[in-house]
Amino acid sequence: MEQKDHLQINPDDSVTLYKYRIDGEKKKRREINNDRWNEVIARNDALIIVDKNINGMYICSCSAAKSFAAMNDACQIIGLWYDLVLEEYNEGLEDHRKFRTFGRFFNQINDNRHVRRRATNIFHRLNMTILDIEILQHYKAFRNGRSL
Amino acid sequence: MVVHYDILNQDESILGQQLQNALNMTPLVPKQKPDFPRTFEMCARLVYG
Repeated sequence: MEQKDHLQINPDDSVTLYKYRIDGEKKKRREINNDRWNEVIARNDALIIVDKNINGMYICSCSAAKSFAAMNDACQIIGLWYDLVLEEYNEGLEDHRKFRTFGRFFNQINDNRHVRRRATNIFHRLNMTILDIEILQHYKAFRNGRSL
Repeated sequence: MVVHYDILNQDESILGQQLQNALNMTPLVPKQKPDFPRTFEMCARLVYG
């Protein structure tokens, strides 16, 4: 689920309160007929909490938690990719030409033709374009904005 | 799925499984743009390849 531990709410922020109520008893999936099950999961406002039975152990899960975890996992992989690309870019360069962060490196691609040429060669070798990198960057920025 | 730097030093079968996990997870990633799956796959293949 979304983490709200570090959320700072200011006086001008808009807030909306959502309330969920438990509608029905906790049952085993096999106790619910397929028509009823399909009817419930088709509802966009349904929140279904699943205690997953794995070898007798129950692990709580729900679709929102899976989605949130997938977003964080994807961003972690993108971060690892940043590190690998930056390592390749910095290889063999004098220290003052190296970048420590991917964000600063990416910003310089537009402003510095030497950086752009070297970076484009790397992206080309990876069969990726600047647009691809922007897609990854935008997604990380979106995630970071959500978790503020 | 938790990604740790340590896995990058592990053997190919584990990396292959991590890559498969990453690709299987992609449809669950919310609010993604249409080109995200293709781009993310290339990204994951470099990380785990």
